[in-house]
Amino acid sequence: MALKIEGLSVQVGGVPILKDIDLAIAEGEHFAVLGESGAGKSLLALSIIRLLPAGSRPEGRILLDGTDLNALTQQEMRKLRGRTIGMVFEQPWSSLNPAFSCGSQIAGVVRLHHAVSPAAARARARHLLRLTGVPVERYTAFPHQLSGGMQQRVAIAIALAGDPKLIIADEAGTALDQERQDRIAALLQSVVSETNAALLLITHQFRLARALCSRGAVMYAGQIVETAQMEMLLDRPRHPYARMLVDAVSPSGFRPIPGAAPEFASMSGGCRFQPRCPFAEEQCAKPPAWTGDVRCWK
Amino acid sequence: MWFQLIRHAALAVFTALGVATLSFMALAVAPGDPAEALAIARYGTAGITQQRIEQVREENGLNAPRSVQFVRWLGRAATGDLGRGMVRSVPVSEEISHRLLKTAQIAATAITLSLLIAIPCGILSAARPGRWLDRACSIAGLLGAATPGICTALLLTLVFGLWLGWLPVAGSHGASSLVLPVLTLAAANAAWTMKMLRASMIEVLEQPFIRAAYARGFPEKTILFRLALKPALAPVVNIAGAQFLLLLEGSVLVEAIFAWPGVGRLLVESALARDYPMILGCTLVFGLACVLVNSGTDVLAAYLDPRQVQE
Amino acid sequence: MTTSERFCIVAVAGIVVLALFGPLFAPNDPAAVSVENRLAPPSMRYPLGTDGLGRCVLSRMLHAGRVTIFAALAVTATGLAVGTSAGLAGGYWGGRTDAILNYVVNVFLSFPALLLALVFVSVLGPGLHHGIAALAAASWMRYARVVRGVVRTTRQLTYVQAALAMGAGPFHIIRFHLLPPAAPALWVMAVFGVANAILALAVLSFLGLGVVPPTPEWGAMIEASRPFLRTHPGLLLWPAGALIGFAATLHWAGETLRRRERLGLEVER
Repeated sequence: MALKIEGLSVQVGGVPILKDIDLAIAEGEHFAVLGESGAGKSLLALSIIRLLPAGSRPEGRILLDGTDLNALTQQEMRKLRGRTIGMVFEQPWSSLNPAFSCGSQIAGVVRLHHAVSPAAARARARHLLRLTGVPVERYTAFPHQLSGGMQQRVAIAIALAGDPKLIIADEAGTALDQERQDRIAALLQSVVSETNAALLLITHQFRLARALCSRGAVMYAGQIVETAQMEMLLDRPRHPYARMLVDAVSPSGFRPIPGAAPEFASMSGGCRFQPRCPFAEEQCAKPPAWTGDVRCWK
Repeated sequence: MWFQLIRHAALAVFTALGVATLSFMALAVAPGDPAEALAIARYGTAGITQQRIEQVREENGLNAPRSVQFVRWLGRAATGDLGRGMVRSVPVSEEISHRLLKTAQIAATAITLSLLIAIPCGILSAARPGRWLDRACSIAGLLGAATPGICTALLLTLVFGLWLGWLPVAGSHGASSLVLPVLTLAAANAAWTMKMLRASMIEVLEQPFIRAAYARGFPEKTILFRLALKPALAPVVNIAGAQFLLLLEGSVLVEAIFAWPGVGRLLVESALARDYPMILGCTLVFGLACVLVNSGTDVLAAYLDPRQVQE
Repeated sequence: MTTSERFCIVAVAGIVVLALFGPLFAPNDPAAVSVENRLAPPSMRYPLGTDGLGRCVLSRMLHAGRVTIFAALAVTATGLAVGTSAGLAGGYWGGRTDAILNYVVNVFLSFPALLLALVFVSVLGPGLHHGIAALAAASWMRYARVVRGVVRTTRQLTYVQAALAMGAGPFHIIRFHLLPPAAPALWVMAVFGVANAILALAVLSFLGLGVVPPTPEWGAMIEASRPFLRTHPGLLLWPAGALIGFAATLHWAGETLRRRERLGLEVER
């Protein structure tokens, strides 16, 4: 399975948010999308599975093994959701239905995508619980009876229930403390490798990205500004924003990026980072072209 | 789990006892002499003498202190003997059970009908808020909840009974006379249930786990009618106990207006005639029914939304 | 404040004004019986016609409005007072007081309001004040439950402990720390309470257990319209319309207020 996004732009309520996104993820590859909150990362995730808020208009192509997802009907998309593409959400608590037991939620997704008997679905659910490190006795437990870390494991188990080829992890683990985050990261690593699924990790934590992914992209204000191998991206970033972002949290000191995050509604036509870029020049008023995986005139 | 059920049952019985006590206490402070009333019922106003009144008092144990009377009554009630009515000397329990069936007929039919209307309407109007179905249901719900049973009953009588002449307006002769009482009861019940369910569904549908369900590939129908409905029903079931109470009140009215021979009508007649044994028996039965329904809904609500912790 | 909410306030103010000042506009004496004029159609003298005893329907309607509103407010105020006190006591002192109060609340909750009224009236005899007492007795539990819940949670909060440590007396704590969080819910419940009291009073009067004739009341008027239902439906429709109109407006107001305060659904009933 290969995911290739070409020129994706998404308007929400008339305001252009995502602009000209180009991305490619190969089979089994682990890819990270980095950026600050509000950069549009979650919107990107939702665009891939086409669960955009009402009043959104996507443009461009999202090719999954050659099929353009943007051209499919909702009916056809539904067959892919959960089955070919699985998603893990930010807050573990909020993605679980409080009225159903954890095990039955996993089994429910299994039965949704595979024509198996209820008993077989339950067996598979138990298997997934073991895989994600949840004690099997917790099958009948309800979400509110579990700790946050356990809930996130169940959420990952549900995401795996359909046997997906691509897993999108949207800030999964951000709501947990550091230690639990690391454990969840290790879990993600192991399950994804075991099923040979591709991973699209969306996060603002560089640690996680470095630990889990081989390639990554940096997003700013709805655009991808640089794409590179993970070490290159984090150790020798080329785009001014990427450089300042990595610097900002480097061990040698906290250097915040001057200026404030831009408003999507009042974006100029040129380079979106221009107002805050220390290297800005006249030509930056025009939208910069890609030069070797970096969106910058320099 | 069993411990919870037993605890519930014990509490229910205890509450029913409280209901009985309350009824008895209320009647105990009634002005007038029950012995005298009984004597009048038996011998007629002209035939009473002081001697006869004392005789009646003796016979019925009315000279014992109230608390003793209560305990005696309770003891007899536990074995099913609720005494005899004063107006017509029939055993109270017999009369009530006879009438209970009739009341249950209209109550059960009304509940079923109102659920059949309210649940789909509540779900569908919450799924597409602001559209025509939602607007229509909201207005219908508002009016239905604001219309007291007496108005509904008489309006229906006017339209279907008198103007169109389709349905009988009184008595209990066969299925057609069931319609108006049931419709009256069902109208208000359906309106409240639908309003509650709609509001609850809207809240549930805004929750993140619903979007997660879509992301996992569930079709909208499954999400609406199973994944969202289960947690949404919990607050509705919580007030179902109160709704049942209203239904009982409604049946009292409906039976009075449509001359339906049920327990409610019996209670009104007894209250107006000051037939104390009958009143006590009826309130006990009503109270027990309410306690049972309240307990039942508590259990059901816990099943629907396990986050609710019983105190 | 949205337009819809503005409309709501206007509507509620409207019915309150109508109820309070309506009788001033009554063209005739609501109790004036005039047998030769009975069941008359609408005319200049009797804008809505006359009822079975020749009394002016419009005048009776307007006077009934005032009776109803005052009675409903009395019911709600009494229920609120009793319920809030009980809830405070149970929530604040906890332990056995709480257990006893809880039990009492449950017992009363198992009693339909109508039943309570029937029992009251069969004991005390008819009369509006008995009806009001009965309805208050049937409604205080809701307030008690909500107040108890709020007090129990608020009592644990640190700033209450701090106030206690600084020597604040129970009344101070209750007034400034425990009651205010419960206020929004109580307001919403009170609005619904008034609406439901209006309807319940009508039902009581219909059964002969509320107002005593000749006091006009919509429920009583509806009962009196029964013999003439086919020929003079107006006698039913006018008071029914008034009842539904008042109740629906208050329900709408309650719902709007509940949404505004972002409260749960349990406060509606």
